[in-house]
Amino acid sequence: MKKKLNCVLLVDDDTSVNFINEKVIRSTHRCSHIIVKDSAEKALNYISGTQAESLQPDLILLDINMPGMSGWDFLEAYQHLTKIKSDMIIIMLTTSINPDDKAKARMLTSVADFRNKPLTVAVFLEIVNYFFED
Amino acid sequence: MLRAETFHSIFDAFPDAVVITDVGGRIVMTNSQATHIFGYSADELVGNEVEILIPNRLMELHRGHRKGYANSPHKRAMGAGLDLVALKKDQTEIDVEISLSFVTLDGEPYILAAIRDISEKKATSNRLKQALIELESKNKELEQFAFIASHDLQEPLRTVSSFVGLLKEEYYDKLSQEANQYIDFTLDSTERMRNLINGLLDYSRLGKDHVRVRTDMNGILSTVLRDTASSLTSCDAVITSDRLPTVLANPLTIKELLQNLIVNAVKFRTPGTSPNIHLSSVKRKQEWIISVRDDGIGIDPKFKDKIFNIFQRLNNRSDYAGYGIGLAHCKKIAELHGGRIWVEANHGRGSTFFFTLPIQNKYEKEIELRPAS
Repeated sequence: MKKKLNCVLLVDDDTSVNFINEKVIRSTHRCSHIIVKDSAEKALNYISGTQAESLQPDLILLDINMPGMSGWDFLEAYQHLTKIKSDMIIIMLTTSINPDDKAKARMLTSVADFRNKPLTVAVFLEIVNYFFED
Repeated sequence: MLRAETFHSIFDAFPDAVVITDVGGRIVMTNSQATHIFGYSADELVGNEVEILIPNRLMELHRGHRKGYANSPHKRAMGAGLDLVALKKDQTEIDVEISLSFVTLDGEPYILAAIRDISEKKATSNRLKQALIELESKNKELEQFAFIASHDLQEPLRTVSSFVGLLKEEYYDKLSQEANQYIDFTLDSTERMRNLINGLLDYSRLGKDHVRVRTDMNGILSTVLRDTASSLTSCDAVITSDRLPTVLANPLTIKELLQNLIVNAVKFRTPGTSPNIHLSSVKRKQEWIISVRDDGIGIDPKFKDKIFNIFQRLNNRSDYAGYGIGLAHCKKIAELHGGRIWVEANHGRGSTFFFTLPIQNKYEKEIELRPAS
């Protein structure tokens, strides 16, 4: 039986990126809920404000370069949240193939992986299989 | 006429090495700084030809110069543009500056040389020169790179946008709702990229032919207000200003700086209000500080440096349009003028941008004294 994720949270300021990512994920039929936020602040508010356990994300796909609060800032603030799922997986998605960013992401225990945009069906399935299959 | 002993005790306290020779070039007296610099004791020096302190290859040349000097003595000041070297006891060479004068001691003529070790100073200045050359070439390279990259990026981009443009013209509403959306996303993105590339291009070219002339900032402000009149009146912006100085500046770029700050203040006004913007200036030491104060949404202090980076934005594009270019330009312009730019949060509401323009030379001090026309 293939593992199905309950909830994925997409965080990117670019509407077209969110559009594509949502479409890609939907096409895999491996995720029940897709939540889209166009800023790190809104994503944090969502996580801290959502009561229903079922709507807490299992996976967050996080953009790095966002206006104001960046992906890095999000990670910083995220660590101070009280109620977070211990098994929540955060993957950074970025256009920049900047080796410095990659190295920085490796240093952070809260970041599970670092992937380049655009998200493809293959990449998404790889993520699900690697991190969520028992 | 001074006695030799008096002379010696004065020179012993000198910060420079002092070597006194007779007209035949024989050392008759040295001070402690000389023994310190050259590594010889006074006894080892006195009685020797002064050429003991000169590298072998220059010895003959020095003898000739010395004889010439003895025949027509004149005072020669320190560091008269000559690259001089001296030889230490351990046979290493040091860079020196030497001043020469002719003195009479106990009725006899002597030549006095004051010698300063400038090896360290010279090494530092060489390193500095080298670093400056490297910096200049790197800057040029970077400018060139930005120019070429942005120019060449425009080509394929133009192709993409023309064809998607055609797609829209010929097939919009003939495919599907989703296809329309794809076309719109693509056109939006190509338009954004075109603007980003142009911004980068402008940024890299800022500072070319940056000639500064006497510039009345009040006149610049009037031009800015005239050029932006429609956007100012559409939100009932109230812009006031104290009397601004006349400065030495590049009128085109300084106008862009001022215009960007004012347009920003209007753009980031508190929603539902008309913006109040006030300009003023103070003179502090060697610079003018010009400020643009607003009562807008303000800036989180943790972003106060970040906002001056190119392409750095604080707000989502859906809330505020833009490319993160304006303030990067402002910073570069302020720095081209030798000034700085920064932002501070106001007590209460809004923020104030400050930039400085240094008062650099005599000419500029003169124009300050005249009333601005």
